[in-house]
Amino acid sequence: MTESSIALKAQGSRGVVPWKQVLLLGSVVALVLGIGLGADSPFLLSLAGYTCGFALFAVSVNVMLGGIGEVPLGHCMFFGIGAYAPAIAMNHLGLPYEAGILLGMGFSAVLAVLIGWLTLKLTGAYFSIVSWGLSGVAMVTALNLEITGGPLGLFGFTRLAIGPFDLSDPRTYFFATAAILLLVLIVLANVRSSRFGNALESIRQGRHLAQSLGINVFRERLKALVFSAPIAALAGALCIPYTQIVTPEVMSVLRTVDALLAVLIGGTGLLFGPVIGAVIFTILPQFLQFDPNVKVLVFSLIIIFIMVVAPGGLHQLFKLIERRLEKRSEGRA
Amino acid sequence: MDLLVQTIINGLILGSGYALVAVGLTIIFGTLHIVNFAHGAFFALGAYAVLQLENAGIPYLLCIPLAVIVVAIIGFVLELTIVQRALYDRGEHGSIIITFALSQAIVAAIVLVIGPDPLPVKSPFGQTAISVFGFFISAQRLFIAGTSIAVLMGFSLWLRYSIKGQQILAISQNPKGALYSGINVPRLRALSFLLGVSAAGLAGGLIAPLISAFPTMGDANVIVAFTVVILGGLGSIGGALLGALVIGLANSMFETYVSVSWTPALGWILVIFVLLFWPQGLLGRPELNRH
Amino acid sequence: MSSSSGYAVEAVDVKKTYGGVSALKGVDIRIPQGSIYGLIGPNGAGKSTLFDILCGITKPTSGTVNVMGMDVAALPAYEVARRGVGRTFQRTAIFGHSTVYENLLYASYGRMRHSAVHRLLRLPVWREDMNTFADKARDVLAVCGLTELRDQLASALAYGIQRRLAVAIMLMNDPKIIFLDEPVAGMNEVETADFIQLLRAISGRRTIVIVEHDMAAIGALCDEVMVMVDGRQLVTDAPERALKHPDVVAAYLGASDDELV
Repeated sequence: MTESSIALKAQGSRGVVPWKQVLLLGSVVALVLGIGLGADSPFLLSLAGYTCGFALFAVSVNVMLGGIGEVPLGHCMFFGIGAYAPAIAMNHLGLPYEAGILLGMGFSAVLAVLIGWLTLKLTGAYFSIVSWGLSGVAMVTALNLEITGGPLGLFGFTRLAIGPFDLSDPRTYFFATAAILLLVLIVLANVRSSRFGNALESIRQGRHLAQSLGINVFRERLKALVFSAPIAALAGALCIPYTQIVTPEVMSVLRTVDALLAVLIGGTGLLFGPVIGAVIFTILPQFLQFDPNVKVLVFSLIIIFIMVVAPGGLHQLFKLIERRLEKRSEGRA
Repeated sequence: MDLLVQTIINGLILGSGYALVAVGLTIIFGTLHIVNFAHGAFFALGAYAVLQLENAGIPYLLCIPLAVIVVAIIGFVLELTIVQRALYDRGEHGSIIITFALSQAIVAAIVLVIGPDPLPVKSPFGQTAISVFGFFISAQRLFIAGTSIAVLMGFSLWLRYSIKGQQILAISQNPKGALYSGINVPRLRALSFLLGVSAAGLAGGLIAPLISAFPTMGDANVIVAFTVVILGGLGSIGGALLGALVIGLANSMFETYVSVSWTPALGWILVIFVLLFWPQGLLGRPELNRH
Repeated sequence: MSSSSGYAVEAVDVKKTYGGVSALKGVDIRIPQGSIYGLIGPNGAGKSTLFDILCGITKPTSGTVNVMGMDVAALPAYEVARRGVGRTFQRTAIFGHSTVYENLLYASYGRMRHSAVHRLLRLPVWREDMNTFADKARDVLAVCGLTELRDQLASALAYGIQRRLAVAIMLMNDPKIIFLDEPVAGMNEVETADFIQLLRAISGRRTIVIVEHDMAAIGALCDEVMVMVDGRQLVTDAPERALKHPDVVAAYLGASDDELV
């Protein structure tokens, strides 16, 4: 056996053999190209772009939910910071969109260190309450400050472009967000199978055992938050070309609820789970022409249903049905 | 000086209203060991039940007990269909998500059935204010404080002296032991869930004439209730009352002396500070959820 | 790192009070290096408290605790673990949602040096880590008799096997001293015998400290035992003599039936 094959085998059942990775990557790229070049409707393309941005946020939420088993109700704050930063940078500071994105990501990372340092000693409901509370404070702040445009928010942005790619063109917007999402997923896949990812998984399963193995539980949890916050901020920034406006509502806890839904539908344990969930979650209501409140009602009920029947996500539900059907057919035979 | 005394009076009366919301939260936590994020939604349900009953021509004072019954019935159905199946002994992660989703669903349902706009709720006390030694107290607020204190006292007495109350206390202290000693734990858990959400509904019905009924009215109150309950020590009724008075005072001081437009943030800031610095509560209970 | 005195553990006048109730009323304990040492006593004697203090999870109210040359009371629990102190827990001893092999992977955290960036770029640091891990895991799996079960889900294993996995997890970090909390509780006779054999195999030059109610297992394994009663040490001696000591017999007779072993 060569060195690398041992190393890859060492990844256990969660690891992926390279050709499989390449195949997966190839088919995803083909899918993105297919949608991007095949779809003609500007509306569909920008909706697809927004879906990628939202999926990015769901992925970030899942770093907390699937990663360390906490429910980050206030994660919408980082999303909001990511959206406000380029808006403020463009409208008040005369900086370009890209600089604003980086500022937002940097600021959210710093804030995550501070917040995590204060709050990650708490777990469970206590952590969720504080997290929710912080996003509440952030929303009131955005409502009251002048630089955020108060309740009206910020709009009328000049040039939403990353380098030569003009995101106001729906097709470019979709390709850019899809590429970024893919990049983040590749990084995340590697993080999950690294020492850090293993530490997180062990903490999620058993904090005390992890500690007895020499893992600094608090620091690893903090790292998870600091890792996920800039991803949320990036997601917030990438949603601007679709929404064209940033209001205090971006920090609403409903945003987190949406992402939690996407994560739970797709499954917390899977890398692609949040993305699949986000696609279902944004595309379906568009086609069914849901009123926003019907959407909240329906999806909240779906969350409850999933949690009651299949806490591991829809794929667990499919397995459950499969098993039932098998049993039934065995019974007949 | 007059302003200060008036502010303190307002604060204490406000606090006794919070106590009612908080006591429901604390009883559910004590026996079920879950933090009920849907508590605010039940608060709103209570207010809307009063509103609808009033529209049907029933006088306010009769609406209140009827509304409590309506909320209890809704709570009973939800307990049977969701809470019982998914929440008990399933770990916190799930209960947070489920109760939170439940609250979103209830609020959305209220918007869809009745509408998003605030609707006034009439009370026989109207805008009348009673003058005591030159200080004004709104009659509605006095009614809230009185009812709240009466309910809290009745509740404490019931817990201490009735068999069911004793059993609920036993469960909150040692669920396994309670099970072994032959207490019907599932039924008493259901009962305390009902009591908890009914208290929230009662509070909603009482406070509605002051702030009108609107779908998200529970949010602000449940946040305050979290603060109160944590400050008072989760699961303790006396603590809830104490915490409620402290928070009520803080809120009313802030509104008078600092700023009204930032008041919504105050509840959040308080809950954050309390969790960070007094997670064991004012009365110093063993640390929960810390490592 | 080990102390010059030849003792793996040296604790003097250790006291612990929980809100006015004293669980330990001044205990001295010396555990020779390389020995297998048992802590026994009726329920509530304070042995679990002492055990947690020795491996750095609980901090004593007063007294000095020296384990392998370090002052464990002054170090955070994860740091104590990193410096060669392993322990198993009664219940949460394995990662149930993962395979046996993944369990070992998580356990080798302390021996790995690579970051997520090394992993992303497949740098040599990561390769070395994974190769060292693969070698180490192969050995540990063989010693613990888990080689065939490598890809099984941990929660699906039989109870006795899960306890073996718990030991395997601990062995990944090459601990110099091992603390076992009631390792054979709930095992049947065959499993107990197998497990005792496993412990003998891994003891070597390691020091092993055991809290256990199963006197047969204690007698078969330990070089020395300390009998505790009511937060104090009663007798410290070789197991066969300690168990016959009149004070010990009296202490156990004084306890109610269900506390007897």
